[in-house]
Amino acid sequence: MTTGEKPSDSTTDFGAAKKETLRLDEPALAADFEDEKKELKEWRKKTSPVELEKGMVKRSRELIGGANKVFFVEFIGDESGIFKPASGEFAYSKNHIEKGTLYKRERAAYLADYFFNFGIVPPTIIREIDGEEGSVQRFIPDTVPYSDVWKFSMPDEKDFQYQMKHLWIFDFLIHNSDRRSVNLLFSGLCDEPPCNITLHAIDNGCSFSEDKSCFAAEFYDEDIPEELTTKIKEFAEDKHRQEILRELLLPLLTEKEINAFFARVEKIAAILKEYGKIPLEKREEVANF
Amino acid sequence: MKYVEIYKLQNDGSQTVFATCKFVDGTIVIEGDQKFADFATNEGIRNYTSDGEKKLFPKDGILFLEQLRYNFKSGYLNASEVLEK
Repeated sequence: MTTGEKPSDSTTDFGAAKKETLRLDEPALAADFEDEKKELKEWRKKTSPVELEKGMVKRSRELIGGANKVFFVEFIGDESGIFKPASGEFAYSKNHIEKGTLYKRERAAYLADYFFNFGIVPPTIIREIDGEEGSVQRFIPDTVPYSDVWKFSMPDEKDFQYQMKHLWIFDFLIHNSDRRSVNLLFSGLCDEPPCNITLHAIDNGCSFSEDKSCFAAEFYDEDIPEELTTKIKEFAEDKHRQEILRELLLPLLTEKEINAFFARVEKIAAILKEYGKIPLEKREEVANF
Repeated sequence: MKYVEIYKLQNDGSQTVFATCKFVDGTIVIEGDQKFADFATNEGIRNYTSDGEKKLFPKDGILFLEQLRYNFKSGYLNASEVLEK
């Protein structure tokens, strides 16, 4: 994090600014405010699967290895998750990301994914487990890392590229500085086609900061699928949806990081609208914080 | 001998050794999953002590071993600290 900035207060409420100026003798405004609060509550609910957020922990096991503390958590029922407590985060000495904020960035990345309707980040929430606050991301069973994808039959190269392009654009948007092939999983791979390949972008804790972005694969000058362009265009044009996402991001990121994110959305939407691709000469422009 | 184990998370939450990276004669020898060995050898890993642009490869020896746990930390694939036997 840069020069003394603090993440926004986690108790920040939707419409807090309005609250200060709200006059009690203006019932129409008060009703608007209540509607907004209600709507935000609904979005919080939609983006927080109850089995992860409220699920009773059956068993929690600390995983060995890795620079950060990571737990495999089984909830009563069928759900499992990957729990990363704030207290177990490693301090990255060379970057702008303050220790103890990675778990919030995991949640922020999921929210961005949800609002773009990409569906590549497993549901991620913030909760307390055994007295420790951290992120819980839904565990995806039967996955293989990117490095192992080539062991399987790849009949649907087009579908694979389609998903990889989603990831590439997503990492631009969230300014991910730690996307490598090891935090990229696939499920649905098989030896006999047709396969139903699904990409899962995990480990998004190093996102939204001023660190230099990095990618698992790049597609400069290649056509971006129209459906993907449309998703970004729709979001970039929907100010109301943007406002809701902004409110949800407020407890997770600094204002500067949130503003930079929305500026990137606008920039990338404009480039895709004009070119239908990310031209190589625009690389620095879109990769900047 | 110095070495690092790479663990793969199973569906039941257990971890199995997926590959072992051993320091032998100044370089790293990777045993276990062949695809992983090819990947580490060809693609390299990130060096978190620098700006991250210069990658590390098995030929970089101990530094490669030391940096594995910062690269493999998702839970799905985790690397141990540098162990010795």
